[in-house]
Amino acid sequence: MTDFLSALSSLPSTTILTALVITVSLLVIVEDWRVLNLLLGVEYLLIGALLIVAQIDGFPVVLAIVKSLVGVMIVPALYISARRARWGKSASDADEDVETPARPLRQALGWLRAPGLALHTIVAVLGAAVALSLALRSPVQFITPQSAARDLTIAVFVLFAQGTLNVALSENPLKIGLGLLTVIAGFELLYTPVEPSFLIVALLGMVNLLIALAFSYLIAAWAARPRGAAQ
Amino acid sequence: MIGGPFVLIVVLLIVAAATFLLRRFTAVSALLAVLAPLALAAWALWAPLDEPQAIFGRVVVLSGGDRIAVALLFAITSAIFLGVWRSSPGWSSYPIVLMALAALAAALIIRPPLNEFYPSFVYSALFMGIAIALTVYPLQGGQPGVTRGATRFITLTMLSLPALLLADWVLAQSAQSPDSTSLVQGTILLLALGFTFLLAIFPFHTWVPAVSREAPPLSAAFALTVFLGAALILLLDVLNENRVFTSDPRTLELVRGAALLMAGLGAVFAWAQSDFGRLLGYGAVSDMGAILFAIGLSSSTGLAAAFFMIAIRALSVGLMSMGMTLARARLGDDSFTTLTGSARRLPWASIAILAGGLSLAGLPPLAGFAGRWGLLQETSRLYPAATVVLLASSASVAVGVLRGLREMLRPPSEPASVQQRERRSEAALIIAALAVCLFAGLFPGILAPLVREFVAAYSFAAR
Repeated sequence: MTDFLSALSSLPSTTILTALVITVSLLVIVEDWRVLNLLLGVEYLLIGALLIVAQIDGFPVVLAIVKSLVGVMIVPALYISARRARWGKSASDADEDVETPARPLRQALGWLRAPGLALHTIVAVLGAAVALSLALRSPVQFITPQSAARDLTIAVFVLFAQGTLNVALSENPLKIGLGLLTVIAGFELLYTPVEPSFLIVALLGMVNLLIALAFSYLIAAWAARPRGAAQ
Repeated sequence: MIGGPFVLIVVLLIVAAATFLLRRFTAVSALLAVLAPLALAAWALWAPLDEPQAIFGRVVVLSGGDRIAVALLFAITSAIFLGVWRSSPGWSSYPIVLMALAALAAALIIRPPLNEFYPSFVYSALFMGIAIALTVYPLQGGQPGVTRGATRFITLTMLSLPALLLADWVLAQSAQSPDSTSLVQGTILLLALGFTFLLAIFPFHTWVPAVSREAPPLSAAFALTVFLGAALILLLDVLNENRVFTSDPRTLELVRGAALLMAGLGAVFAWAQSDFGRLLGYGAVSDMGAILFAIGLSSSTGLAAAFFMIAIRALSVGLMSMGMTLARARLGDDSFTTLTGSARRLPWASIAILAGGLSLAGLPPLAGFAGRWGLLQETSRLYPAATVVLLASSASVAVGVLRGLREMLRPPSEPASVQQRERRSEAALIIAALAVCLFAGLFPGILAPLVREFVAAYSFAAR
């Protein structure tokens, strides 16, 4: 474990930050529920890694691991719910899917032809650009060292921006839930280094899990809507 | 040692588990859910629970305003459960609502360690977050495809959590550097943002009409009265314990400004609604504006009016929700068109909707009038222009209710079937609630001892 943490600490934080920015931007663009769940898991792992790599003064590394673990626990809850709900498809639709195995590549890349893809991509890129610009103008002063403060500020702004975009652009509870969890993750990235109390971290973790469970319930209810019904 | 006020939370959680285990025995489960919060409300009012106790290094204290507020929230929940029991036999959310109530009580009574150097509200914010996540289940109510209201509720109210936690942290920094005006300003702005999300203040009010339109009416009543009531009490606690806020006149100006926005929103939209669900939502937004304005007056008269309105709002919203529950169960929905002729087919449900709606508008001689009258007297003296907005919001809700009444009084297109008629127990419950609503409107002085004690607990409003 110690070897792993020291190996992780030697990674350049810019690499992890870049991966995090790309991951949360993809959360706005992608529509496929399996990919979305995977991206959320990656996001939480990258947040934990960023907290470790940043080597913030006085910040216990174990809290970063706890944060990532909470995230990893959230992903299966959302995944199982979305899968059990057949993602809004009726039994007959699911049968149709099974009966048309042809063109699997086209089906797998079907989301690339989604009507809102171009708009979502433009919005996600603009959101990331605005967040980056704001973060560089106003880095947080209360985290040391300065390099960690810069990286964390960028990550926080990008998580806030892309999370808010996800909440605002969708009616789908999964995407809204991912957006809300992303906003809260961004806030925790800022808050945990300055308030490293285990009780508060535990309660925040509990809030995160309860949000995920609530959205799992909403996903199941949303998927049970009558076919063709618009919300 | 675990004891004192903490027992309130523990007992609620035990009762929640019991109602879950006994869910097949609907009557037993419902009876337990009705009686337990009522007994705890009485215990909170009369037992000596005002000694602070340390639990796991944190302080649990139930004194002054919180004691009365917690008792009030428990009593309201008990009344909602009674309404649900008689009108919605299939409702299965007792355990989760009791857990949400326990989280709301924890938000009001759990405080930071005794050695904390500033009055932190970090645990209150976190327990509010837990209550928000739990309240989603009764709001969705197991209805296939109906998620808009519950999704908006959790998304908008949960965004208060980051703002409130950051406000608490900046407040700690401000306590260490009392001369820094930028830190004080930052705290006030973050706190304002947090409570804007939490109290459904414009433009983050959109969950209120959506929830009151979609959710089972009595579940919506829980969110509109107990949840928002707890959030209002938390705001009062924070203002009272942190004089840094109330010493800055801009804080109270912000509160009053937000209140007028909400009352104005109610005035613009309530009258034009075409179903009682959304009308209830805009009525609740308008009422919330009146309560916030009363708090923003920062006077004992204003606070007394606010307490009256928080307490009575449960009666108005509960009565209206009870009528809407019966209307939805018998007729399918609560739109004005569907309720055409309902005054003859469902007379008690129609009376409940009418009386609840007019009480929410603050019309005499119903319960909602007492608080509004106190507020209007104080406002007309200090802010005459604001009085016009508050009156307009009341009038708008009343016009909306009267538009619905016109449809209810039309002759029904078909006679009522046996299945459509109200049961005696439902009628008896509505008559009892109506009697309480009229009695509280005609004799508001009955609450005077509680109001005096409540107002005395909030010294920031002692003028």
